[in-house]
Amino acid sequence: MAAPESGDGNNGAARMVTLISSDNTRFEVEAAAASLSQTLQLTILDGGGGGGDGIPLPNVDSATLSKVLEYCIKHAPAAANGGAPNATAVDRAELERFDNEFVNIDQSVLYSLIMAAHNLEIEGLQSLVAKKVADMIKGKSPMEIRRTLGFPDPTPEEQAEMNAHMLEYGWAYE
Amino acid sequence: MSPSPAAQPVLPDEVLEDIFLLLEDAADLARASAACTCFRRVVSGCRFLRRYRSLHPPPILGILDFSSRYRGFHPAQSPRRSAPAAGAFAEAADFNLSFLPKDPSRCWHVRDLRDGRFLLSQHTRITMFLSKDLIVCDPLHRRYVQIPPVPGGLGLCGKEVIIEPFLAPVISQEKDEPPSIQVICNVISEYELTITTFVFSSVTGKWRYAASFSIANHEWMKCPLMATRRYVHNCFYWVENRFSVEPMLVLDICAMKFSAVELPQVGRWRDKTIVEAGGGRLGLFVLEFHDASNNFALCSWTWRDNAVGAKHWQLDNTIPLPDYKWTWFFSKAEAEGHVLLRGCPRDEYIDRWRFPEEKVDAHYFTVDIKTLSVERLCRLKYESSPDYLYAGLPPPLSPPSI
Repeated sequence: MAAPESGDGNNGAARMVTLISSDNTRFEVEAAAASLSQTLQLTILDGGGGGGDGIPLPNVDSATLSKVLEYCIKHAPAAANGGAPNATAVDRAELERFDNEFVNIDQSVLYSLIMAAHNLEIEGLQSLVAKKVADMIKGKSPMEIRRTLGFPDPTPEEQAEMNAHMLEYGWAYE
Repeated sequence: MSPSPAAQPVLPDEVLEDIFLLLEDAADLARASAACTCFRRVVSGCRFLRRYRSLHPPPILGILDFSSRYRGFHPAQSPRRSAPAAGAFAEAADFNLSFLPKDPSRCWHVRDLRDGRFLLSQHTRITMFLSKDLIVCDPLHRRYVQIPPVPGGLGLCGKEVIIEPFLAPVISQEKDEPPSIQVICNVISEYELTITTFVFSSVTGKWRYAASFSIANHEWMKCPLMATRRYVHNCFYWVENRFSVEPMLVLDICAMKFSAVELPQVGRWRDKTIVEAGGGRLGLFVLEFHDASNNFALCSWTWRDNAVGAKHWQLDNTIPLPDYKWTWFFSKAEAEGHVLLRGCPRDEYIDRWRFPEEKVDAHYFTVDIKTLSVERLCRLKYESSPDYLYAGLPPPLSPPSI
């Protein structure tokens, strides 16, 4: 089978693709960065997203998409090296520092990011945000978990259910 | 996705599962499941719980004693971290097995414990005839399944034999359904000095012939209950006894082939136990007494490839045991990457015949096979018999194993 034109070969310039957010903002990024998304990868391999066409992303708003792309651009070089098995310790430390900083965000932004990472199937970002939420949950009581995650106060029925549950799981509260 | 406090953001189940799988401490998982109905639904799903268990080895909850007068479940004691969970587990499970079919003329004998399942037979510990009665049960969920007898048509009819039934480990847990059950049964003829092995699978509902082997060089296998059986990386190993230097008998359950493996020359009368070392290797822990420190040390050996393609035993590590001036033994119990050590203050141990029996205690410690960290589990009567170590989670975080 003939490989689809990758565009980043002969003239030295990286192939670019255009992504269009739900609020119609156009983002031009390197195909390699956008391809971190499993969802977009096939379209891009098929030669889509170039020129004036663009790939519409009706589930991702521009604020979230710009954040997602910030992640993809930073991680694309390492991903291109097959997960960078020969990356230097300095590179790895730099990516780790970036990741920690990256998820140091408001809880509402974090939710949008979780949904975007899920819909676009960006594996590294999915793990990163899942770990962030897990760290927010650890060591907390159910009520503290609700507050941390921005849930509304429980209704009386929910409160009763939570109390019953605490009895059942008494060992987890000692 | 508005930050309005009235809107509770709804995340897809797969996303919630990915998050909850990162909570290593089961107590965190339990508390998270209390936070909202949606979390509770995801956490209590069987598929999720099986995935969780396959990622996070469950904590050691206690010791099961089926053979002394202190029989029963002995939960981990404070300050062990799993003590609260162990207490909840002890209350929830039925180790009297009162959910099994009643037959006043017989009682059930526990023959094996693995992955939360018990294998029981209705005969005494050494059975001279093929057992008709095998049961696999889950005392936490009070379920059981009857295993059909090994058919006489498989060439065993009328012969006097000893059987050693045991459970094959569960390979994959990541399904909604409880994993299938595999029972292995060694049928040992003491006159012909042979082992014939049969395997039962709950998928086919049938026994099949699997392997046979001459035990002329392993005559001690005539009495399998005296030998210690261990499972390590797709193989079962039988050691004559903890102090023996005789070659071990090995059954590879993928190839269904028997073979023999030498033990390292660490000398007779050293207590030792086979363990699952990292990197797919076979390991061995040996207890040695050091005259200089007047105390015991634990030596960790692994069975490695050497430069010429043969295998040899190599000493990797030696750690001193807690400086209690104690005498230490391995117990035959093991579970989830831990072996059980039994310690006793040396003066009490030496003088134990002079003390009233109930005054002398045995102290149980687990050794984490990977990290070699030694941690106190519980203190029981000296005469107690730690037959099995139980690793698991209290309900409702344990999915049914049957």
